[in-house]
Amino acid sequence: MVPTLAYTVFRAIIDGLLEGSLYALMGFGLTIVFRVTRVANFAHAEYVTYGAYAAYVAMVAWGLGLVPAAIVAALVVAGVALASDELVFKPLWRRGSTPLHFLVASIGVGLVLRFSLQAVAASVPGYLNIRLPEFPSTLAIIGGKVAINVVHALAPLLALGTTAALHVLFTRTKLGKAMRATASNPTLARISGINVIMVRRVTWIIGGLLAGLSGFIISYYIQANPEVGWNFLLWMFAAAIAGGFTFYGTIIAGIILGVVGQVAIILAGYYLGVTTAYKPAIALVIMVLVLLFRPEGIIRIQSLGLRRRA
Amino acid sequence: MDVLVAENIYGGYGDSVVIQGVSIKLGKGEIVALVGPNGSGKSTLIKTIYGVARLFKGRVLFEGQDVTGLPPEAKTRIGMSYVPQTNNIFPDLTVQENLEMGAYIIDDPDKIADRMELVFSIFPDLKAFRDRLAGALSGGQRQMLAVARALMTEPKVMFLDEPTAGLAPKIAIGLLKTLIKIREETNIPMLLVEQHARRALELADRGYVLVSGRIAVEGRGEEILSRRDLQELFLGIQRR
Repeated sequence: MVPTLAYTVFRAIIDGLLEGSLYALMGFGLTIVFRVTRVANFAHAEYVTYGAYAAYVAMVAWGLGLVPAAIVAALVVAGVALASDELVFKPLWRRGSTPLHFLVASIGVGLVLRFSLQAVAASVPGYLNIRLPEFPSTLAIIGGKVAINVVHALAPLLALGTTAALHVLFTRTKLGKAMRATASNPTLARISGINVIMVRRVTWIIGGLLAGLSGFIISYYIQANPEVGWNFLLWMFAAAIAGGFTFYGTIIAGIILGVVGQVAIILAGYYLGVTTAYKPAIALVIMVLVLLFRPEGIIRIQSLGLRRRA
Repeated sequence: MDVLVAENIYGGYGDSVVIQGVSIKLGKGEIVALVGPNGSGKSTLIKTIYGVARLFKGRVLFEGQDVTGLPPEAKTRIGMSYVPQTNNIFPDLTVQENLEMGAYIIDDPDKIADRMELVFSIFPDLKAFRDRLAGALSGGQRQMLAVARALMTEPKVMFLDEPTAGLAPKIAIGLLKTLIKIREETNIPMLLVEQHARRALELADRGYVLVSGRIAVEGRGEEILSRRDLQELFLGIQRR
């Protein structure tokens, strides 16, 4: 008979893959926005929350199905992300603000987004704690103990699909190459005649789409509230930092962090009686260790397979 | 008619005015050297003309058209081209992608391919490294790539800010010779900033000596080189 601990760890790995995929999707948005615009965007957490709520409204208030709700979440958040750039970050950039100004401004944007959502959610009955009305169906039960459901498959597949789509965008299209060029050297991008304003818009839209999808997955999987994205903030930053703010590094670091974090907290609980409430501490510890010893990131993969065959 | 005329330029950064009323011009097919001691404002002058640094006063005419207020990307679109002194490549892109980004404003893929062939014929080394990340190139190759990227748009005028900075003398001279070759093949006028004044003035048709943000002397290259007083005063060339 397989010992219970093995099942517990297996369960943690499955959950960790799901969470890691979310960290990857969210962290990637953070990374691409930071690389192109130098905004270390704390409001990215709130975009995730808005995705969760947009999906909920789409299903509950408008009676849409799961897939349309996911699309609504992605589009709404893309709009929110674009609006925060157009209204706050771009005007600051035009005035010559530094990354520090952007960072502080992004905290402000995040607060405004979070508490205005909170105010609205508090005034509508049933909106302070939400969960999509359709529960993910079970795909398989391993050993009669570990249930794997649709979301466990959906999140990693979405992360993989997104990575593949982004890879094509970045290596095969003029727009994608222009985005990488702008991330690599913004001044030279302008000098080369690249429309950096357009690149900037597309960047925010992509970051928003991914944050919206992440929010949708969260409210499909667990209960969400106006602070749900905020609770993920440490993890998405940990993924981006461990990935050295490189595109592929962030995705891989996110998935690894998800699994390591989940397995670590389960084992800590098993052996030391530590509750899962301490899980954010793991992200914090990883982040501090990386910043102390490898501030350039552990997994720096800028250009996975970017060298084309001649 | 002059391809480029900059009149009474005042430029700098933030509130500090570095360039104090400089006028320069660039004729068809001309190589013009901009020399002067460290901190004299050579780079700032180019940046101001191109719209990268702040222009306080003055006028820039390109092919008779007033382009004074245009941002750098718009200047590139109308046929100007600029090789910055540092950070002049995209390190995270391959050599070929760097060149593609140089040709960003061109939509016709055939034209881009033609341009790339021309650039590769001028810099054969780059062709061998076309799939390599630009950040992995040697110093000399980087500068070649920087010039090559600026050539991709089929520019009508080129500004080069110390393309030989940090290169070994042999490689630097090779690059300067390549610039002459580019001029012969394409007839693109060039404004060349150079730390090494003698080298630059020897190959240039004309030169300007910039001191403390003002033009101290202008004239043909040999003329400036032959003036003994200038040699020590402005150029730091040792009398042999």
